[in-house]
Amino acid sequence: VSSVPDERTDSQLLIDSWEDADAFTELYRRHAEDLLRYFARRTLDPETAAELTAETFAEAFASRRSYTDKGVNGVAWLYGIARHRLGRFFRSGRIDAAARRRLGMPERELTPDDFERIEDLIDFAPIRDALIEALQTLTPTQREAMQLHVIDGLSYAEMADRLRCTQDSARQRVSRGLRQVAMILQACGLEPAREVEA
Amino acid sequence: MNSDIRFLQGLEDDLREAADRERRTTADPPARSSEPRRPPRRGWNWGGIAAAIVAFLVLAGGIGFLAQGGVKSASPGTAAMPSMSAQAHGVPAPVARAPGLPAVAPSPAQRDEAAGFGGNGQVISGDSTGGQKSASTVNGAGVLPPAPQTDLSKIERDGQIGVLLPNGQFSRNVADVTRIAVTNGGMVLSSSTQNNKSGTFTLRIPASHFDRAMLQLRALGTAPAQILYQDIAGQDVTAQFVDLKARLAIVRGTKARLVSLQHHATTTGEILSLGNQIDQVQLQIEQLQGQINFINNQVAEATIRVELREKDVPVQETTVNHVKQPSLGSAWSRSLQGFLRVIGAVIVGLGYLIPIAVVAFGFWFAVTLVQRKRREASSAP
Repeated sequence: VSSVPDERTDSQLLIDSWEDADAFTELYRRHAEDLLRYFARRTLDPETAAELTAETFAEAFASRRSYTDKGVNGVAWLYGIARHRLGRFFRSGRIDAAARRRLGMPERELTPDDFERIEDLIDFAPIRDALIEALQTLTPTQREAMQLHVIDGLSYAEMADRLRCTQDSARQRVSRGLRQVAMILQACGLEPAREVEA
Repeated sequence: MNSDIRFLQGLEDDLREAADRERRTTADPPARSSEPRRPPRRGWNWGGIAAAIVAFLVLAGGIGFLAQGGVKSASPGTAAMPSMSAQAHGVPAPVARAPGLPAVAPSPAQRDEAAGFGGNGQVISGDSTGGQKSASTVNGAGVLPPAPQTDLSKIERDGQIGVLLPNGQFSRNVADVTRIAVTNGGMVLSSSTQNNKSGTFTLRIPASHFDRAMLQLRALGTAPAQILYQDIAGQDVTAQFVDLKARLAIVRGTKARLVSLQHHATTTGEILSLGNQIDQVQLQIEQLQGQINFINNQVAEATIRVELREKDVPVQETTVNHVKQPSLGSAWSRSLQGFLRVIGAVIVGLGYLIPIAVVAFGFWFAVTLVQRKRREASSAP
């Protein structure tokens, strides 16, 4: 890997990636974390955000030859795919893994550290009032899990001890709670974040 | 990779491997690409079928449950008993009373009427507050003139009366007891008879008609019948009621403050924490409101227990205040009844659903057949 910064534009990287797949890797390095933040702030759920990020890049890689340079920054094309993926997720409540399957990519799981790192990317301030309403709709189990994790700051291992369940189960309860809140906010026309999308 | 998120690092590796695979595939295309691809085998979706069957049975159960009269007729609770007992004695069932009936405290005049009981084994009891209240309504000249009053007192009243009847008079007096309950706007809550010669009845009577009902019941004991005992008890719960109302006001104020704080919270932690506190306060509000409603209900309606017994019937112990002890046998019996009731509801519901399903299937079959014929006709040369 060269340590010299790649000065090609995003559009140029996309066009170069038609023949040189490493150019796409450079594009990925530039925007992966931003795209993950984009999804995390909208879905509120680290697991969903990570899955959507992976699926978006897989689809972008598979269809990179359909990109045409129309003078707009190439990352806008990437975010177009992301928006499409996000819309499908909010409509169906599920994340498709078809693009990754086609490319033979495995479905990875988040480590506990990743979970907490991605949760730090989420900003709740702009949707506080709507969040209060949305939290009322959760089941007692989900609310308890969210309280232990979000308020009391318990790790998933500590939560598992407290709730007498596995760490995966504890993580899943928090994840489902956050996902449901995100769906409700989306249905209300609210989004956790509205940063500029390229 | 600049990010320290392992998922993203792993994803980068996956993308690189995908790129390598693509490169290899481009350089060495698969030799068997011309081989016809076998269509994916379609198996039965057993999960879906099971879910459909369960949904069908649940729907059938729901329809059956509704067809059998819903909750009211399905539950064998005590609510159904008054009408049953009333009908058994040939008296129309009392109309069910709406919950939350406003509390009606006994008027001073009615309390005077109650104070008039006496003689023949009669016992009149009550707490000191209630007693003072009754006494204060009478002056030297008689009854106080009716003044505009805001009587906030809450007094629960309870009465018992036992009547010894001449032989052969039991059935007629049972009808009279039921009639007294109904004409006073109340009902027979429960009844228990033995050999058509003795029995006990629990009446729920509006508090405003309590004294009149007791007088009418007492009239059953005129000669040749005999009053065995009569007991009227009153408990003043005004202090408890006022205390509960005050606590409710305080807790409601606390809730309003918490809600206000929640709307100014800045972090998710604060929002959730305040939400939990609001839930706890709401629980307290509901508990207090429940206790207030209970007192209102107890004050609005009085309970009278009546024992009727013919002269030749030996005295039985604990005929009044009979409390059923829970047992595993009765629990098993009730669970069995519940199970059979659910099965029955499903069977009844299937009776409704199956004809509809047959018609729907026939319609679907006909539509499919027509579509297939049209397709065949259009594809024919």
